[in-house]
Amino acid sequence: MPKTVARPDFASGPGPVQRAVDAVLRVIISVIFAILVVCVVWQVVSRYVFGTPSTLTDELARFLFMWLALIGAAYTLGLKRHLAIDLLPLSLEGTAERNLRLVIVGMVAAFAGLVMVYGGGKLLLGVLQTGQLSPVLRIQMGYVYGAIPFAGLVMLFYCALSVRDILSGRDVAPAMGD
Amino acid sequence: MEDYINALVLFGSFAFFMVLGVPIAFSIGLASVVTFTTFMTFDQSVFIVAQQIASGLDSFTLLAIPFFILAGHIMNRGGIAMRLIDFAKVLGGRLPGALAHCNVLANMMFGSISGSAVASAAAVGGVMAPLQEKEGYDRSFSAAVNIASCPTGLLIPPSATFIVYSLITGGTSIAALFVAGYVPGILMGLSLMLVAGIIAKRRGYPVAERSSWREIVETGLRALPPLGLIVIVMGGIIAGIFTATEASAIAVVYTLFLALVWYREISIRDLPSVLLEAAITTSIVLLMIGASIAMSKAMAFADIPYMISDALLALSENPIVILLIINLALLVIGTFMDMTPALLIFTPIFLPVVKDLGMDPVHFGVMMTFNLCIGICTPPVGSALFVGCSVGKTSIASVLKPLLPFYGVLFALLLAVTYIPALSLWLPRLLLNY
Repeated sequence: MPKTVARPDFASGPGPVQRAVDAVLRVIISVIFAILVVCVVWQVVSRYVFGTPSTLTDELARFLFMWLALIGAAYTLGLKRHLAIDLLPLSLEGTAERNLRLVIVGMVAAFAGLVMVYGGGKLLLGVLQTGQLSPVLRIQMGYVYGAIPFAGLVMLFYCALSVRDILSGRDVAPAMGD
Repeated sequence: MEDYINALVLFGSFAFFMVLGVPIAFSIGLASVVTFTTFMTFDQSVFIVAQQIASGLDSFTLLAIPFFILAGHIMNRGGIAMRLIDFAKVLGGRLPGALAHCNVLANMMFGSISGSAVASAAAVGGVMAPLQEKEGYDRSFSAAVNIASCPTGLLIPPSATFIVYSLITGGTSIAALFVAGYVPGILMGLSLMLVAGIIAKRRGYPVAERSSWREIVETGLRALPPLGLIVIVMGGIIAGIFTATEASAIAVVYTLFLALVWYREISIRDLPSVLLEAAITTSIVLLMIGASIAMSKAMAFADIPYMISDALLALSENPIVILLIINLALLVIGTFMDMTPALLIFTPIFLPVVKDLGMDPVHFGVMMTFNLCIGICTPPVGSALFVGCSVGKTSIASVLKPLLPFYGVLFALLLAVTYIPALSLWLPRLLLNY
């Protein structure tokens, strides 16, 4: 993992807060992914060696997968690497482009805030209230869905940073996705 | 009449967000919320979208996607592309325009292993473009060959694209889809080689030296470990030894073994960054999948599949005409939309129509993937086109004319794949009793 170094040229890179959040997310994502690989490999091995697939790793893998997908999506938003058709933003210049970029960030923030934090939060609370437990690990099913509002909050954080960058003229156009 | 308004709300809002430049996954999610609000309260709408994302991502089958992507990323780090290119060189050597054939063959092999058209175009094209220039090939011609042939790996299995299709159709057999992709994928490569060969012959591009048997065996042996991945994964799936998800985990272990132990091309310390890169690629796809599950629910609420079906049947009751219309629509969609979102959004709309016509879902999946393969090579938005031009050091404007004959042959082959079900279904019937 690349070490974060203090940059004297403040305007050219992410600030210290974003670097810290980025670093924490990178660690979480890599660790979850690594555990996920071990889980599913163990799942295959257990099916062949012991004859019965491990239900524990099956359940754990599904939980981790949900968190990986959503935290990964939030981190990817910070990198501005979600695929978009950016023909319109690229064809505009100056204030018009700046305003359009603000609108786009606003739309993303609306989704993150309303659907993921608010809607996902209601889902989380609703499931926690029923007290539904996962069949094998006996953990609250609500925690699995907690990935949605959590990722929503991280997305809102990145949206706020984007707004600040656009307003201060430090915004870099999103990189081409793969 | 009310149905039409709901459809207008869904497609209108979706197009509005997309054109503005809102990332595709978020455009899909927002359009779903807007559509749901015509049926229920705002609170219920955001709740149901969040719930659909959660249930969409809670799937053991989907786990295959991050794993195949991770295996592809591990392979990309090493010198796999070089070994496959060396092998492809001796295979295509005696044909006119040898290096163009080598490019196509290498894309077929590398694309199948990496599962990504873009990764293949970058890795293979990056090596081949300078070699071809040295031998006097026109830059834009080389780039066109690379661009048109890089999507072959999306049809030749293992292919994450088919896993996405299986998911959105509610469980079409992944094994059958994988096996069904072989014939169309290989035909796609061969027909591109045919066109490239004719053009190369006319232009007098050089033929390579005849390779000795020893060279063929040596380069073949060197390409064997990476190609072994395909044998293990596909062999296991066809023989029914393991599922696609299990196969994907085995693919990760195998590629890790190759990269860490066999070739020693990456070290343990590189792993976190490989994991992270793979996680980013994965999450781009997965957020789109989650949002698309919500959108297909919204479509079902709005009766959109039935409406489209009625509209198509009103135009014509002739299956040949309806399939032609669907293909033309998908070609247009493909020019500005990437493969995964197009597959996720339009499969639930068109599949019920073609099912009524008696078309097999596996056949339709292959047809749709083939169609959208053309889309990623066409402007204004085409990921393969962009990457192919950038590694080929040429512009989109200058690559379009040399691409035309390749578009032509791909379109002809698309019609064949559409109207001859056996091209897709013969092999899975033979091997899997599908």
